[in-house]
Amino acid sequence: MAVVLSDLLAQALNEIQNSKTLVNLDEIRVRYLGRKGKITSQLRLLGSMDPDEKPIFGQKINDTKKQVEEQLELKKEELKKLTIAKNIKRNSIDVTLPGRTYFSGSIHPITSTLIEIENIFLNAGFLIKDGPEIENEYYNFSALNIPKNHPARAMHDTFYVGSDHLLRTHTSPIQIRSMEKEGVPIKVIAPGKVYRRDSDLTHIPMFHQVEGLVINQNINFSHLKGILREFINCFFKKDLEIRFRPSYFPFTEPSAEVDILSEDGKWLEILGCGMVHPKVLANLDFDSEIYTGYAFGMGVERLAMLKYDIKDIRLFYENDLNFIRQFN
Amino acid sequence: MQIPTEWIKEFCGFDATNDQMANQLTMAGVECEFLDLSKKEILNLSLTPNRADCFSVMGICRELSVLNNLNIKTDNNDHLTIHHQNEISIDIESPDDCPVFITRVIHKIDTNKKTPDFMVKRLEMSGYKSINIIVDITNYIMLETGQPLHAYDLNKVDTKINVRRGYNNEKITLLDETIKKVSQDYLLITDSSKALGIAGIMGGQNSGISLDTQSVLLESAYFNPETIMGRSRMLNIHTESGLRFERGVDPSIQEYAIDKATQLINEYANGQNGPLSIKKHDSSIPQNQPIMLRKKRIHQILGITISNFKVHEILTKLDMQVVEQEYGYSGWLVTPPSFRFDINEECDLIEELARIHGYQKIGEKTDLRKTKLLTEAKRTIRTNRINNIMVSRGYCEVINYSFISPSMNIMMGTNSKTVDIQNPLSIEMSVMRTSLLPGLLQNLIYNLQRQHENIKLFESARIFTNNKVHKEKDVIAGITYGSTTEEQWALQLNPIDFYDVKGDLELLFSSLKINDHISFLKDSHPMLCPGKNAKIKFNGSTIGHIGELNPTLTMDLDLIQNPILFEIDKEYLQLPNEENYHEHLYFPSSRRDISLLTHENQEASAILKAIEELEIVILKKVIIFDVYQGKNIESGRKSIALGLIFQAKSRTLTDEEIDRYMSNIKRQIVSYFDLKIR
Repeated sequence: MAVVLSDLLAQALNEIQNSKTLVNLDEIRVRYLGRKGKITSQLRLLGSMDPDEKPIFGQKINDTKKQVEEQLELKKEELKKLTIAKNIKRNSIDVTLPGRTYFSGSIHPITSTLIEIENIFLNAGFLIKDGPEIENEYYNFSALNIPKNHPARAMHDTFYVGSDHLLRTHTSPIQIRSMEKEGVPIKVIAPGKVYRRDSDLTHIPMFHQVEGLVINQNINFSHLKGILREFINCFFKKDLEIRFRPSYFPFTEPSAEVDILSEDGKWLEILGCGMVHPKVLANLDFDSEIYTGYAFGMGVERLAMLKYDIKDIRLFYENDLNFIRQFN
Repeated sequence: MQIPTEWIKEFCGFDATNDQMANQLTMAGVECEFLDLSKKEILNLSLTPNRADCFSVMGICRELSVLNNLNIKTDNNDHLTIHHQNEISIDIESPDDCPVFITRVIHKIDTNKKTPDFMVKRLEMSGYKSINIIVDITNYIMLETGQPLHAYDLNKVDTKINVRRGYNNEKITLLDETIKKVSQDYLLITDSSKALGIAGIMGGQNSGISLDTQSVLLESAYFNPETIMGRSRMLNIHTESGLRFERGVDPSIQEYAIDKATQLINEYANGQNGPLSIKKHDSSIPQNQPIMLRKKRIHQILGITISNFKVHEILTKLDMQVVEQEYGYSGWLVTPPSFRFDINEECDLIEELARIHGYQKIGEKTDLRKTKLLTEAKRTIRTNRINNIMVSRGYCEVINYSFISPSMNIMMGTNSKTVDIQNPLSIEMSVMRTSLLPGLLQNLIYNLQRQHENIKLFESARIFTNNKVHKEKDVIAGITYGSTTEEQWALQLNPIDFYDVKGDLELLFSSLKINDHISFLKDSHPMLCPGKNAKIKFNGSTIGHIGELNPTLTMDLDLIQNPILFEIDKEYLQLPNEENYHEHLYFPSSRRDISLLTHENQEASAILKAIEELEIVILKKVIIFDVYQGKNIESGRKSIALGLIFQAKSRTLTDEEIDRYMSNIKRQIVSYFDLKIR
């Protein structure tokens, strides 16, 4: 009997040694150690044995089983490693090939500049107001202290769309509408498209503005200077040298232009502003003795040009993908 | 206006550098820069419309003298001798239009005399060509004093000057040889038989100075700005004289200016002058009224205190009459000089104080008081969400002009009435667009011509319609063309089709949590291709369109492929009021597939709707995983394969239960539609 067992062991070990695949190895395991396996079935012989021999033979079977199991396990590890190595070799890729790409879009630089401006003022507690692009004479001019034939109208070459209707030349009408609707105190910005009948190298007939208005008690010129410096620093993300110089707008008095000092030492005009003219407040029946306020307005294209160093304003409306895709 | 710095310096003795001159003026509100930066000899001034008083060498010198305590040179004209007594009679019909009208007859003029070099040089540096000695002198005096003068050839004027309003449809030929039709809105200088010129704007051709002129009638007038304002623009003639009169010429300098001009004509053109004929209507001459200026108001507006002494000093230097007043608080009664038309109210005086004192001396404060709670963040989130979806789906944003050509608008095929611009820059920009799609098509073609092959664009803007009243609507629109991806080794190229774009929109709708309200229905928008043409509905309202471009247009535009277009009313793209979390399910789901053989025109959405009607709570989702037509399917039919996913909240479903529901579903759709279950 013992001879048979040792033969079985040698046979099994030999088969394990020569096994090439994990599947085959498992077949060997079943053949020898399965429920009806060659080694397992030796246990049946125990029944007919001497009570003295039983434990010895039993021990032998167990030893044999253990040896086979150990070898199986070792071989399994070896084959696993071999298979993985083979797979890796077969499945290697060229990691230098480009990855799959899908289109990525972009936001127009004017929109992103507008959003940036809006966010700065939102953080400073301003509300954002919209209004119609087709306006009437009252909101676009008269309410803003620009009577008919006023020379200031020459600065606003206007597109007319009817006897009393026109394309707004600035977003200030929104401010008038907001004050009419909501009264004072008020703290708003009015972004949007505006139209002027003007077209050359540096002028386009449609552009974007953001105008701001703050009316409250105890608001004076120093607040205007304060908010605009904050805005300019936030927008350009650095402490710029700026200056306020006297200017003229019919709806503000005093009025000012704000310039920033460029890197090459030139002053660049970036926005207009001033203290709201008492007549504008009086037109709306607000007491200008109690309420004072400031207003400002800026051209979004101009700010975008400075921000991205764009030299030609007309690029914004050519909508050339080579230009637009740079802003993704 | 441009002026040589040398002229300014001679006039007021300014002795600092030209750079300092330009800087001082700019910082006082008289914006200027050098015409030629390498030479810095000529100031180019951009005057704001309120500062009519700066429209001359004298005006600029007044500003500099306030800032530097200088004295302006004023000539004494007393020694002008009168050579003869000829005058021409003047009749002013409307003195309110023309409160001051002064003329003088000058004989024996030699118009062939050369203009002296110094004058030619200054005129040229100021941007004026030398014409003849008389015209040169009138221009020179206007530049120096701000008073426009006009010289008529006396022999071409009959006995009498009449200043009157025009008659309707009255015609006049001007010096620049244009013929203008005027009306009662215009003031004319006439003689008894003809119009000699449009007052304050331009003289007529029939009475102009020529080289044969021997006697001139020199005119120095003050016209009411209201009478001149806007007339140049209406006639489209822009003259230096018109510019000055409409903004306001000093009503006190007419005699001074005409005397100075006479002196020069005598000196350089051998003129022999007669006496001044003066027509003045004192009560029509503007008188600046005293304005009350309160000390506390200065502080209220500027946020700084300027000492009483300083206030007095600044205003006095500006030629204002200042009387200190006690109103129970400090204040002044201030009367501006005749040359200032822009100072009518207290706030105007405060601006004067601020600009002379210096804006830089006003501090900076921040006032972060909020007037209302910040609800506006929603607007930004909404814009960002919409933009982010579009960008993530590969769309590039464009911005087009709001006005397009009528033919582009007609291309849309809709008959909504347009808002038309009465004074367009060109026909190409003459109507307000009723859709963003024509612009996007133009952008597409522009970029295709520049060798872009795959294009996805969107625009978010306003459109305009005109149904008796003008209406504005915010919309978002897009166009796509080419393949779904760029050419690359790892992906097959597929042309973008209707379902790619529909998928983009569905993502947009679901990101705003409105997809449950949205449906796509077959439609016949004229700009889109029949059969691939849908309207987008939000509950009952049509909010937009999507489809392939109409093949006729595709051919007209020479495109190889049909672009896909969409346009949606933005009003319906709102952020959800609530974005609630829904409890998700933990028990396993089961899926059953069925394949339906149906008519080729059967709309899938109807079948899904029929299943939905059964209101099976545990039916969580239905996927359409295949739609097939062709081999093995009889013609005129198609196969639709559905995957139905069942899941319960609190238990694992049994096969029997699901089978029961499946037979309900099958029964329902077989009874509703002409279809077979395979």
